[in-house]
Amino acid sequence: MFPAPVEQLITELSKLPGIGRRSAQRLAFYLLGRPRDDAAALAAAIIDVKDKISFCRRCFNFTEEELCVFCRDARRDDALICVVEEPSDIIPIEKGGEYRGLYHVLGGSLSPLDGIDPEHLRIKELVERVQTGDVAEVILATNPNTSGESTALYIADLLRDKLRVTRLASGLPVGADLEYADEATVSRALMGRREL
Amino acid sequence: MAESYATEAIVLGSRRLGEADRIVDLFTDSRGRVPTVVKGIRKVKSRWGGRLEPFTHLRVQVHEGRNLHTLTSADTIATHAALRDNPACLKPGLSVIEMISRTTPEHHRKPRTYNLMLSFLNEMDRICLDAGSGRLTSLGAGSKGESAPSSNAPHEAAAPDRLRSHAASLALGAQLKILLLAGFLPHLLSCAMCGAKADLTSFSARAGGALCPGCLQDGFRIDPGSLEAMILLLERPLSAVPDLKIGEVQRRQIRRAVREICEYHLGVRLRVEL
Ligand SMILES: [Zn+2]
Ligand SMILES: [Zn+2]
Repeated sequence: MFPAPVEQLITELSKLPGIGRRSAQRLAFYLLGRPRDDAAALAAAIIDVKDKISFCRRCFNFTEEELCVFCRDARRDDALICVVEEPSDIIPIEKGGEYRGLYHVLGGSLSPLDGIDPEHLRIKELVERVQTGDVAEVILATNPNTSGESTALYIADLLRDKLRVTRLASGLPVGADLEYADEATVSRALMGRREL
Repeated sequence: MAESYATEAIVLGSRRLGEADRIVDLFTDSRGRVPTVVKGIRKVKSRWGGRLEPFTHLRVQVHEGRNLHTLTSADTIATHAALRDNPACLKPGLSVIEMISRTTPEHHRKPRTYNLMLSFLNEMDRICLDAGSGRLTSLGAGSKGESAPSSNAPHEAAAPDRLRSHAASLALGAQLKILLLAGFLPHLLSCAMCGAKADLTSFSARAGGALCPGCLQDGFRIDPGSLEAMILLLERPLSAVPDLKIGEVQRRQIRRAVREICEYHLGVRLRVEL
């Protein structure tokens, strides 16, 4: 329907997560309308990130060096590991400003229906880290949905007798009204209640 | 011709859509399996909360768009949280969801399969409750100190193996019944090839069921006890399944039969192990 190079661009863009054919078309036409320099900068940035960024050898966060910024930072508490699904999950925890330990990025969560089993995640690497390092506590910060919960349970079973394993509390979002909360969230909040 | 409809539904699963949305696979009472867009569900303060996690039984209102349907409201009938929170139940539960999501076409009303799924969820809740899990107990006086984690340990310590086995048998029963409702009833009382009534020693999905030694072709070896258990699972209601005392070996063989029926007759490879 379009000249071959345009078709090619649309095909490539529609491979991006959350981008359907229609959005890909819109993006392609937007790029066509931009100066050549803008397009070159975007293309260069994509190549640059692929050439320079890899996974941290220890925690599998993104990094430009062998170890990521957190693993390199000597002021961080290496007795504490916070386990997350994706590198992007680190951002809100860092923004919170409370956490001073290290991370471990699993690269997803268990989802038997999609064929994602323990061997597809960096769980073996976590167990090795715990066994070889001086780790006192692992905080499981996978998402509070079925897939994230089952991942947390699976890991807890593996590590429980080796060290302290904790789970991010889940319950009512700060600022919400109890009246509008759903049953599943309220039950969670009740189970995770704390003493005052 | 957009319109809105109300129905009961069970959540089968979901996948991400764009920045904050999901497409939730709803198994509805009135229209079968309906992939439904749920807007904003991935935001922390989403009004949907935890209502759209797998196994939840809901009353929903859905807007019928030109391409996709969109959820406009959802009220929980039962959370069935025990299936999600109990490692012994999650995989059996997911295996039944997998069976439904991969063997039932979208937008085809399946009232009997729907009712079967509901009784499966209720039976799973019941065995979890019998095993003493899923009930909130008092934190108690000792809970401030070191003894905290064991407040309801006595129940749980005795139960996990039995719970695991009951949950797996229930899932197998539900799977066989789903296949039956989809029109697949394997020959189990006589040889699928020659009709011989005695000495059935193997099972072949291609042949359509159990086989005698003379007709044995590409089947696998199956114990008489497993064939018997399969018949019972098909005949008896799900509520009777925990009392059938089906063993690990029988379950493994029945599971293989189910798996091969799905592969050979439906072209579906099941991924979830019990
Ligand atoms: Zn690192
Ligand atoms: Zn025969």
